[in-house]
Amino acid sequence: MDRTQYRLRYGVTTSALIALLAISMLMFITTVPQITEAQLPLPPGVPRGDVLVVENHYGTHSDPQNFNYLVPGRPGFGASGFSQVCAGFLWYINTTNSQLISWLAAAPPEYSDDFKTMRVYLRKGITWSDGVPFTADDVVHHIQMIMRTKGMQGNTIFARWVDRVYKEDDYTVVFELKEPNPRFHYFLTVIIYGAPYQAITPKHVWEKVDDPLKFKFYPPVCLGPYTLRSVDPGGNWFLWERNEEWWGTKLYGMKPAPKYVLFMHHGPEDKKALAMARHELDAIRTFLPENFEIVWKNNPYIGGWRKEPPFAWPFDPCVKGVAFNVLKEPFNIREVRLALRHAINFKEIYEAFRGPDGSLPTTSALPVVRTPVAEELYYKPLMDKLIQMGLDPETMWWKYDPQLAEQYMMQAGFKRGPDGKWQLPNGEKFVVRITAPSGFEMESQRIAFLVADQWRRFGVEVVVEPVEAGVFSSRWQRGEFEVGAFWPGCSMLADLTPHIQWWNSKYFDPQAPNVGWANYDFPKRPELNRIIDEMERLSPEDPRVVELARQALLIWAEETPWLGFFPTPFYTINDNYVWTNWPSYPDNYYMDPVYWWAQMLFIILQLKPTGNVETKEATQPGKPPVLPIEKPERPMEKPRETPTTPMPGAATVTVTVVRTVEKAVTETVVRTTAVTETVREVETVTDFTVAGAIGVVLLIVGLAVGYLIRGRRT
Amino acid sequence: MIIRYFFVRIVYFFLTLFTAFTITYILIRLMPVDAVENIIAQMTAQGQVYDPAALNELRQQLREMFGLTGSPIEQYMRYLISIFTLNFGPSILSFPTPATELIMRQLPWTIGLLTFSVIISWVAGNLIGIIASVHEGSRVSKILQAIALTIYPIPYYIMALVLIFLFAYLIPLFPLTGSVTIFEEFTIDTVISIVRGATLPALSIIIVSMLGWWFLSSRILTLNTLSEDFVEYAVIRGLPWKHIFRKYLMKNILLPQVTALGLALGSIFSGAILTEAVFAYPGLGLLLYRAIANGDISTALGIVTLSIYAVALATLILDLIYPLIDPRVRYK
Amino acid sequence: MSGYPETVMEVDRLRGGYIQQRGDTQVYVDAVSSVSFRVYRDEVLGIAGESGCGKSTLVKILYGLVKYPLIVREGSVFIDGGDGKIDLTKVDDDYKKRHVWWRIISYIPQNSMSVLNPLQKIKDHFAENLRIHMGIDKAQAYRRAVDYLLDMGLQEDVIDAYPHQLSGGMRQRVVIALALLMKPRVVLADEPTTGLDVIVQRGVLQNLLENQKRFKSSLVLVSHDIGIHAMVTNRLIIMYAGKLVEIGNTNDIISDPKHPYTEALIESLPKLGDKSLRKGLGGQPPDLRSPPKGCRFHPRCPFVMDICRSREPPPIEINGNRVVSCWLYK
Repeated sequence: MDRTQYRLRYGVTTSALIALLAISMLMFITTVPQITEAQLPLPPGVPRGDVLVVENHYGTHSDPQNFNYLVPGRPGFGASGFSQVCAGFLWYINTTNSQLISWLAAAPPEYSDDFKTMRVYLRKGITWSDGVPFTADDVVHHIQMIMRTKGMQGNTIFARWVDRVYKEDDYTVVFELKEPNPRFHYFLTVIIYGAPYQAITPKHVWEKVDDPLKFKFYPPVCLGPYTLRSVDPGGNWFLWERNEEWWGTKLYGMKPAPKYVLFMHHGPEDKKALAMARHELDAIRTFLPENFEIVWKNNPYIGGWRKEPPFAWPFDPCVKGVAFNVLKEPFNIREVRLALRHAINFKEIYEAFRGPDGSLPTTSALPVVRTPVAEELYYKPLMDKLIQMGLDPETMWWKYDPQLAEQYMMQAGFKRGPDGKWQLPNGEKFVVRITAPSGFEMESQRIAFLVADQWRRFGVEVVVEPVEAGVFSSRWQRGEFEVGAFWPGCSMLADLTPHIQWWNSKYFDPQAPNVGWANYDFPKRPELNRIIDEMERLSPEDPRVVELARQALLIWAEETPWLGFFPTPFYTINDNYVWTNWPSYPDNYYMDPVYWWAQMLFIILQLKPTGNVETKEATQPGKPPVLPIEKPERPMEKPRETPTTPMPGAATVTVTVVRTVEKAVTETVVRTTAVTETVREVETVTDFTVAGAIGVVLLIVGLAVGYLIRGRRT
Repeated sequence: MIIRYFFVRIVYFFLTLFTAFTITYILIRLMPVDAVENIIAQMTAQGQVYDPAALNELRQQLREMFGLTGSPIEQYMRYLISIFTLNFGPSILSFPTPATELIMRQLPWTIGLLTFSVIISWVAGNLIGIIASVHEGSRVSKILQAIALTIYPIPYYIMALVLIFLFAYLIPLFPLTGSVTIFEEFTIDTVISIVRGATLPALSIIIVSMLGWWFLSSRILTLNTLSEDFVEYAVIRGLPWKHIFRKYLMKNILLPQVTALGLALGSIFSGAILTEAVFAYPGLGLLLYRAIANGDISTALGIVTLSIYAVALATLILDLIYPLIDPRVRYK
Repeated sequence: MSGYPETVMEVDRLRGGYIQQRGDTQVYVDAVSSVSFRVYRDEVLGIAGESGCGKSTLVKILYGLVKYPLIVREGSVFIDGGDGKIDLTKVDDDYKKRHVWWRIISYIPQNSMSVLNPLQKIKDHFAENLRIHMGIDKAQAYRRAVDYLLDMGLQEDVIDAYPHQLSGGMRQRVVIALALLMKPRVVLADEPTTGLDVIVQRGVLQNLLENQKRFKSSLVLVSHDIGIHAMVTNRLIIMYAGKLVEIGNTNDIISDPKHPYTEALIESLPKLGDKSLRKGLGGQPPDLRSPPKGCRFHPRCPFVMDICRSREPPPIEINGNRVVSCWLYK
């Protein structure tokens, strides 16, 4: 047999193989229906309508079967869903109005007059998911365990502040502090995101553990409405199943509608966009505007902070911008910073962040996010002084004034070189290096490039250095930078003390200088330190705290150690195709769309099924998560209560969600809704198997036939 | 003499290992990432309320815990020991879970996916490369070449996204991510689910390497071999084409290709990071990336050590069995 | 040497050459131009000429190894195909593979150093040919191969060796042995001694001769070295620029060359005892893409006449055994 015949044989075999392949593909396409439940990791037979799919914003977990978040370095416990649906916290802050929500605690904390003792009252009747009652023993053990385990998250905090912690009775815990601290309870309150040491651990599980750092706490025992059903060994998703024996249902009639909650990582953002366009993802932390557009164009059911566009959430707690390293020359010169401040045409940067749906950022010239609360407390009262300092009332940011900037530069001894570029007083060219993030926080990277452009126009040479996350944080903490697209100004509470206390020199760590503001020496340094010292001594609701904060902010504005523009808009998109009753501003504003914070619990407890897809065990939501304040009636030495009424001076803007009830509610209302829907048996898997098996068999037969024919010819 | 050959090869093996380990170690230690600062930054980046004094103390604690103390020589010695015990200490990504445990968890996924993909793309790539070259000038060959030249320059990321868009979105044959298996009971459904989740990642790798490297290299080898004198002589001697193909062509082509396959298999232990990232498929590539990005030296060293072992071992095995299959090397 | 010798191969006005593709245009290189001669049984026929004269091409065409860009333009190569005369230029490759190659004609190619499969033992080469050509099973084929090799005088260790383990000379002997495996009627050997040192050359030539005599086959030996022809061949063909310029008994040609080119060739050989400088021919062989009109040798011929420039000289027979293509002998 020669080459031509061989060629023919080969051609026949190849065509046969191709034909078989084509037939197999056809069988695939025709037998696999387009149902989305087949694409999610669910137990067999669970329909899409039973599941709430939330984004796992961390990504792939390296050690997913480890629910001990007390070990530092663990990925965020809001990525697996632990903080949202399993953990139990004493208090939460309602992001919309800065109000304290008492959850495991039955009431706000009770401080002694000297703020050295804090008393916590716990709700009665709460049980762990394994049936064991939750009592003061759990709280005491939790705090003590953290205090004695070095390296554990929260260890340094509690070891520093707590002298003794003990229980008075099964439902009362007493903290005796080493120093007065009117804000000690903040350490146990979910404010932004939540901290792992705030989630109370079960004593009956952890007391048996030798080394709490090594303990994996798998499967976790929960106080929340869900328990862990399944974990992806590859680390991409976490499946939680509703606990039908939850104390919230039994005692207060609360019941989350979704039978399952799935926290899932789909891959790069493009894939998340595809997933959401296909109703396989119900809530996401944020999208880049390009990907948001994809979802917007393909999914008419989406909502965000608002039900209608503009969707973006404008109140992310951190104000983004660029920060100077005030301990490095020449950024330690005030005039240089002010010059660079007025060399920026803020409007351009602002417009650059206009979203495709018209979302606009919330300009915040001070290191306080300009929420309605902050507007009333800080921006309005200081407006006159700020305008005097150079704020532009139209843009609400520092005015664009190149001439003024020029003056400042000259005052600092800078000159323009022959090429028009600025020179240092010693004659060297003035080059600014901006460290920017890369691969995450891309908005800040954009800001860095925009600022660089502006400064270049002003005659300053700028180099932007995007760096990976690890390097970015290192440089920030170690102060190894000149200018950086960092965000030193974050805030959430109306009481600014915990957000600005690090400005005081006593907190400066030479090993981690950060932006250097705490160690910066300037004329009003002693005054600033004094202000903060006093703020720390006052109780959070003392009106003087606000007054002092205002003074501190003015001092900050005078020095302008960093330029904060605005919190970048977060496209916190939700999908109303399967679940609805998401919070929305202003009509249904019971919470901000913080799906990745612990406060997501309040959203989950109020979601409703739409009826657009099959459900089996999804229900209507139970009672709204508004728990009564229950304080035991007992004679005490004049306890100092933190009232739940809005703070003075801010009454006009708060949307009160927490209602104060004087009497303890003892009756529980159980609502059952029978959901009778037939579920179509999805036999996708079997069809797949059959098609695949036939394809493989045909392939083998084809190969065998080909071989036999060829074999004959020798 | 055979013993001498073996002995020399094994000595080289250990020398290679030692050099590779040392260089890797130096490179990884030179990384400008500080694991402790990273963790602190993660905790504070959300803008949470924190106690500045407490934070500083935490820094100290963490540094001690992670073993980032001790002179460089001491740490290097510890590393050398860990190469043999395969105990790289606790990971930082998931302290104090041992780095080895993290690696072992991802290992089966990587081995499964990549072994399968590498072998399939090797077989398929060689097959169409040889066919295209043997029938050089024919329409089939021209079509195959055109396809290969078109697909070869497409960056892998694009190919992966295209596959996802076509077969996971437009025609939802496959799930959007690779991890759709729920492992409660290990039934046939679980296996099928794993296969379904792995199909697109495997396909993306296969298409790119089959039409890329394996196709091109086998084409060159085949064309070269076809023009060899001894092949022409076999034709002269009246030997039938099928015989020539088997005994003269295939052996000469497959020899270097098997070597390349061995090395390719050895290198699967560093994972396939783009594949894992795009398809959300578990594996060592993403773990390595995470480890490096977070300054988790133990895990990074663990994975790289494993990879070095694999490649060096593959090379050693190939070196040892080569005389058995290539007579030209036999009597040196 | 009784009576008229039997003709085993007859070449009749054979014309063949190479197609050169220069971009869009095709150029034909006239490498073998109207060559005619016969090969008799039990003789050694030499083909001599300088590089590029077309002798290797001629031998390829004789064997039937005609692959693009080599084509046969006209003419025939007749051999006895078992059942009647066949024209090798007219049958397809398949037929040649099955009936002609190795069985009736054998070919020893020019680069014998590298024609053996480096991944196969020597005995494998013989065994596979035996299996293919005789249809016997593997075990039998190997037995016969070993027997044959021993018979040819090759040692055991050679039989079991791989090609790279053998010296050049030994490899050549193997190739010769392979060529004679099926006892073909004609063996075409293209420069079988090139690259070997003189001692080995002699051994190889002796080997070739012995086997030729043994099997009474015809050997066509191509070489540019007249010395070898003198030693080994009975008759000699001189080729120049694709043309057969002279053919006759080797001794006659060497002692009495007729064609001016042959004369120059013989003149250039070193003679024992004669230390004078050898005379060479001036000029270069012509470009075969556009060969000169008339006699192709005329630009360099010391006896050139007018007719040489315009008309090609036909083959002229001189006393039975000698044929010359030169106008001098008209």
